[in-house]
Amino acid sequence: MTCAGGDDPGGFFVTEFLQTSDPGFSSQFVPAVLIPLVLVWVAVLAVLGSGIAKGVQRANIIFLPLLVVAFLILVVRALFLDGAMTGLNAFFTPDFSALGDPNVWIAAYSQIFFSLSIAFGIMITYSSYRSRKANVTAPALVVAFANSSFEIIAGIGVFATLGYFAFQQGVAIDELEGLTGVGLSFITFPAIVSQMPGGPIFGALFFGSLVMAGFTSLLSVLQVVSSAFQDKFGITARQASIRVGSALAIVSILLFSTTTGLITLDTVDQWANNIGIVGAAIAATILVIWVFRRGPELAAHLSAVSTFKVGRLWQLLVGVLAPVVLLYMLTQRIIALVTEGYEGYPLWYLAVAGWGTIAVILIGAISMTALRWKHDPDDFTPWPSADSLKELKK
Amino acid sequence: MTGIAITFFIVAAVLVWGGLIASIVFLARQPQVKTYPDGSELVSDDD
Repeated sequence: MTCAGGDDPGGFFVTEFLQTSDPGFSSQFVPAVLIPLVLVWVAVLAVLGSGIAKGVQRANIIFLPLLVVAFLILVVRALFLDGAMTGLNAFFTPDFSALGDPNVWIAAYSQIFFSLSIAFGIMITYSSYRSRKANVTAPALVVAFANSSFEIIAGIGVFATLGYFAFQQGVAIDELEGLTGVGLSFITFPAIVSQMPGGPIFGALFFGSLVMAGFTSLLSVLQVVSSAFQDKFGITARQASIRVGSALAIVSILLFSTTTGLITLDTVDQWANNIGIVGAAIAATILVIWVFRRGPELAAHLSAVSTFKVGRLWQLLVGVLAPVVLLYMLTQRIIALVTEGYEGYPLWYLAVAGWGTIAVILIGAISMTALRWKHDPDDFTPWPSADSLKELKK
Repeated sequence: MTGIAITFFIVAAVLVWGGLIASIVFLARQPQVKTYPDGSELVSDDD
């Protein structure tokens, strides 16, 4: 089997498959993107409309074990490729001098921040469906360790495969190109798959895993939006799926399945994640810990219902380390985007697709907050009460 | 694999995979706190 892209998988993916044009807003749809995107949205809206237990929970119970099994098969296969051990040497050999570079620490913090989807609202939303007596911190440890455990497995698979690619090309691992983001998944990996024995099975497992990982991630992000609309306006999961989900689906299809879709997706993603999400995380930690001073109460609440107790160290991490590192990340990113631009795209385009995304997020957040609740959210008796938490602390 | 790569693979595996196993065992042995704060009788397990 050979790659559909032949000797130029990058050119095939960007030019022939995606039919990517110059930055802008095209109305020319790409069928190879449009049709799968519509199908994914139909499936996602059906799952969201089915509610938490019958929809999101069931989808995760099916897809997440499948994803782990498929990826384990991939990793085991990769370990037996020529050059795999060279790849693993590159993965596990530390460069101690890098520990003196603050940017490495910031990059590591950024990696785990986005990998755990902190400040996306996902964990707050999912945990809101659990009992108020539910253990919070001990399951959180399992989630965090499970995430990192899977990342190590994925890293082993990726680096073993890259070792094979370097072996095939007769170059060192650090001389390989196209190893980030979209390029790694859709250009470099297909090129490797096309050269390896058993390539079609390997390719199907890889892209199958990618679809399952993407589908469950999309579900989690949309459940946040769906739950927020259900709580605020007193509508059902089905109504939220049809009204809100459909609107988001239409915007997504119009923006991302055209000949400018990849560029728009990349730009919106860059601003929404690195400025929108990071900015929201900074605002949340500063407001909760420093403005409203609820850190001690939160820590006491977590410890009161959980078997893994948290105290001053947790408050220090959330109230000091997180905002300081995130603020540095945000400032550096804003300076880079303002002074250097992004990917060489025109300034007018970055103003509309990049900064425009931040404007839409802010306007949406302010206007949705200003609208009236269907049911008064303050008509609720907190448990444990603030007084009983103070008693526990004594 | 080189010696240092094997060493750091073992360190990573013990820390991360060991942490996963330890956290699962910890949760399984202590799924909930022994006593809840005042007012817990007014909150049902499904609430």
